[in-house]
Amino acid sequence: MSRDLDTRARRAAESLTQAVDAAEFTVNSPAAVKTRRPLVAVLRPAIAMALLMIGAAVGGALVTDSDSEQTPVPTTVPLVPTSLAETTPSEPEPAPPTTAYVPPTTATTTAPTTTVASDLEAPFIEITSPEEGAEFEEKTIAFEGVTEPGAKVAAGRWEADVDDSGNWRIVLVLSEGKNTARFTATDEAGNSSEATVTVFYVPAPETTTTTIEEKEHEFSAFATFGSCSETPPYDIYYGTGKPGTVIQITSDYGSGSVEVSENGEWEKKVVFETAPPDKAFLVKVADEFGNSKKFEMIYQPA
Amino acid sequence: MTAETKPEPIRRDKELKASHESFESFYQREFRNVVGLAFALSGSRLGAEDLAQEAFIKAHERWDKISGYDKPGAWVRRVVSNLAVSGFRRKSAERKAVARLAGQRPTGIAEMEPEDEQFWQMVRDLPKRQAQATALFYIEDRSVAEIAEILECSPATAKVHLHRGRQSLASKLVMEVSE
Repeated sequence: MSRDLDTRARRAAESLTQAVDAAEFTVNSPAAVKTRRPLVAVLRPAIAMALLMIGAAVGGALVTDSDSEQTPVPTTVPLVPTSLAETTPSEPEPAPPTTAYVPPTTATTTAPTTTVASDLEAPFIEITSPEEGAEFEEKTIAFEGVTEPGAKVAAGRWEADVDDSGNWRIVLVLSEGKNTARFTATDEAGNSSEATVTVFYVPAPETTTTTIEEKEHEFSAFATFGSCSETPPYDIYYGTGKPGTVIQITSDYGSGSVEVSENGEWEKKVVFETAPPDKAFLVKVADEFGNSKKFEMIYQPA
Repeated sequence: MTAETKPEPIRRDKELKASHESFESFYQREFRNVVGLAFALSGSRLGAEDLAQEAFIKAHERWDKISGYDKPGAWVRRVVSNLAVSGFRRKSAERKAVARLAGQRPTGIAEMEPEDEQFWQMVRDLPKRQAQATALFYIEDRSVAEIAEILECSPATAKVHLHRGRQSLASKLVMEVSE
């Protein structure tokens, strides 16, 4: 038997391909499946019961309309990890909101697409980085993972960047010692699930302070919403950078700038006065050192 | 290159195509390949089909956007790779498959030779990113650049995942890795 891994692997791959080719599949193309999302999967049970009493015909007509309405948000209050300081340690932890209402991120105007069955299943969420129990000398750590495409991921009130294939990333500031980060994934139907990871921030000895400071103040930028239904539309951008430097936020329809605070954090609300409705446009966030990040923004009036 | 000026998608490596392939054509062409990838990474004979189907359903829901990507197949593979390495999602897919096939003759993917079954189990035992990169490399003959695009990481990162995955396999199999 060949001792070469590639030979062994390619034989195994060929065997797998043959096994798949020989299989008889029992599913149809999603394009051939046309079912509508049942009403109960979209509305709260009490409202659903009332509509059922009114009549299935009305409920059927409302399904189409409700598809364009905002999906109900989970009622559990996102837990803000008390050990993860999102501001400087001296500031008190912000009180959790009285309701779990998450600002609207999309006012969906696209036509309902073909769906299959009701979505009562919580989205999966996994943390791929860092590993459980990891220790860091840096105070600012990027957490990354994967979730179901279309789901949102948040750590308390901070929302992660999620791309369209479900990869997510968020930078959080650690407290010294043990930190347990809890991330919640919420899908479009309002189902949610959680994942946690515990890491440790162990500051390096004084001799390496400069290095830690430099890493703390690396440029990062995030957009809070990505869309807005209010007039004029706006978004809130935030992130980290070198204290005292200026962050520029520019687009064809509105711009702003903000100075990075002493703790290396910045936040800026930018209003897009002249943004056209239902047309995505780019917003660029850049620091003085050539670091930049682009975000897509869309104004979707109600 | 489009004739009119309009905002371009932010996503890297995504270029607008002049003509969009139909979803049906894409599905028929890619389904089996994606099932194979799902099976390699999940080890579930029954669930692989449902995992692949779930990825295609997501693609279908977003087809207006994804059909404009240069490589919509990369998007689907990325999604199914993430679904397949999720233990939670794998078990869910198996439950769905069992329910769907209730009373029917089980179809699923045929058994392979024991040493091939063992090989893919060893791939699944790798850290997730290494398993994904290794499966893409051997099943689909993907280059490092293509693996990076599918996993949405830098080519350097993809190379590291692939290298470590192959080294781990080689040491377990007491084999040599040809560079």
